[in-house]
Amino acid sequence: MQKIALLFIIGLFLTSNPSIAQFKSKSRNKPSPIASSQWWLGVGGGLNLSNVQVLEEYHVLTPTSGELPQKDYQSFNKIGTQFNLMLSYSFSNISLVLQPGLSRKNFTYENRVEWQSEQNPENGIYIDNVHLQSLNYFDIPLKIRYSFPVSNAIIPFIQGGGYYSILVEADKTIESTGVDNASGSANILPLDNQADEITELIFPSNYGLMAGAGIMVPVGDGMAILEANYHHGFRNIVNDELRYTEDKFVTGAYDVPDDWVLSNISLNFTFAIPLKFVTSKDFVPVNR
Amino acid sequence: MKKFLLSNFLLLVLFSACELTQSEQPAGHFTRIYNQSDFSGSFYPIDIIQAADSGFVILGKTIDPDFTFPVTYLLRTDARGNFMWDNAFSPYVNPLPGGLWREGNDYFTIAMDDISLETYVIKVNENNKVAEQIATLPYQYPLSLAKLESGYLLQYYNRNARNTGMAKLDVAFSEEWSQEYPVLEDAEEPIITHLRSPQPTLPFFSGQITGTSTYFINGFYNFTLSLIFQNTSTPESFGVINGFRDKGAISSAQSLPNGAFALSRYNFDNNFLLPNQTVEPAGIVSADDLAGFEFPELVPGAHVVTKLVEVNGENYIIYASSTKSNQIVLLAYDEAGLLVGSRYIGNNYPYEVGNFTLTGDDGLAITGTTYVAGRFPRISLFKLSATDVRELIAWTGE
Repeated sequence: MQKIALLFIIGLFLTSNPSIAQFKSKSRNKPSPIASSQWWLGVGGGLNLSNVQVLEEYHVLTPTSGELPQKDYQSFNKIGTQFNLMLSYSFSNISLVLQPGLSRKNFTYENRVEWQSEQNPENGIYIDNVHLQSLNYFDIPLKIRYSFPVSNAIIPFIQGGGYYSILVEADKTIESTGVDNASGSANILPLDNQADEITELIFPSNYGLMAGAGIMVPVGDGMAILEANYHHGFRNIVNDELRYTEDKFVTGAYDVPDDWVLSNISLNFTFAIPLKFVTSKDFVPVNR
Repeated sequence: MKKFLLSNFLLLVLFSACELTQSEQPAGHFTRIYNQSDFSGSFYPIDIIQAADSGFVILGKTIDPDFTFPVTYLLRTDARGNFMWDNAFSPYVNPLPGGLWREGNDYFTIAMDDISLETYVIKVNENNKVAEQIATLPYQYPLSLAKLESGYLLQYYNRNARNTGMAKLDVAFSEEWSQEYPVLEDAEEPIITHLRSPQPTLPFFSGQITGTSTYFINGFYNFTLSLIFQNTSTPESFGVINGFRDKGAISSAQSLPNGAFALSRYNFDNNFLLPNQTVEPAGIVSADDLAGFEFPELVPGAHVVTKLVEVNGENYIIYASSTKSNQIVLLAYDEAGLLVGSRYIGNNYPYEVGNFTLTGDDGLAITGTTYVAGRFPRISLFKLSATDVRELIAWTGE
């Protein structure tokens, strides 16, 4: 997948050569109606950080006294990646941007289970678990971009829109460490990490809204675009009916997913080329 | 610019208008392990029933060093498996599997006194959660109980006469009749070993052949662990399936509507399932002469729970037992004795079957012992949905 994306990027750079892709007229005296719009095709990629909002917690280990064991969620701490294509239609300062692509979103939480002797509280055992979830989605975002050029070299923009995501695959890893303080001294428990696919536990689709900002920098006839976006989901991404079906984690690590709403911050770089192939000498490209 | 402001305003409205999709917790399928952070706590489930509110009542044993035998313990959950309350009911020890039933908001079980070894019927009310002794039965060492359509069938051991006893009780726990069967040797030692263990070491059970006046118990008789049939009609008849000492015997029996039995048996380390076995209640045979499907995956002398369940108007036999790979296994057979499905529960940590029951939503609730962190015995509850049950029985109808 990464090789294909790399070849595509190289291809786009090659085709951004004006002799191949786009005719750039030297005459800019009389903008024609066609000069007021432009199609762009680009390819990009970047990094993202994810967070989940917990709607409702679920537990396998159910205490018969005391509080439920808490899951400690970490926000925006695990880097994920995304690769995408961009197709945009620009007119005036407004662009309509479709940017489908693959993303891998990671997030973690931790929990501890422990047992103590009532007679001697120093005699106890605890197990710490770090749960890493990785969700691979095919994202279809549709954005409206508003640009306000400050110079010919840098064109800032803000954007907003919605997205629909289709789950491709999900997997989970649990790293466990434990100490037995009840056997005479601190004894490290030989716990194995556990990993497995959890695609069935995650709902097949997700949707939400996004907003962001960035800059566009003309490079030759092409355009380099750097953008930062915030995505906020609007549904529980966990498959309710199948929550307890991953026996490896349910009975092997006492873990089930909570109800999660996924949010995400991404930094994305795109290189785009204009698609309008105009032979008119009156053509003035819209470069935003 | 106005258009831009308008579009952003609309986005803001859209953001604030969207409601998060919050799903309800499914009661159809869940897994719970009832954990106590006390290092020394030990809990072993032996029976489960559904409460009036579709929650669950689990009868178990807990170890209390102040008592010789495991103490009776009840754990109550709601329909989603959330813990509601629990209580240990000393000095009532050795609660009987098959001996948990409900009348309204009262739960009943039969247990033994830790010192006098007498048999008590105790009632626990949902509201006050304390045990009330409602009957004292004139039998020592109660070993198994079956709740019948009318009354109860109790198995006990008469230590003085060295007899195994079968007593039919009416709904008020008065004896209708009883019969004793000579063991011909002192069976107190293996019985005490069995009763002191929180996990069953010997397969004592009681029952009735469907639609007949023939009752059966699996207990010590004539030096061996035997399945004894007693017909109480006129003329009386008696039959037995002999084991081999306590090293080979029938380990579970379920009377079927077609007159046959779904049995399981063990012979030393080997376990066999016989889902459609013709049995002559007035005959005398050896358990070892019965064939059956051998299941090397089951632990030696496996505790097997066999029940007849009706799903979509058809009868199926479900066996639940414990495997050498520390899992609970469910095996489903149709009435003809053909295996139609199986399901394994458990991973990483040990899981041992306690009991199971069909639930009001056509699902299955299985309780078992698990050893959390590989060492602390705790009660687990696995609720399978109706869809899970249909998959188990390979149901293909509408």
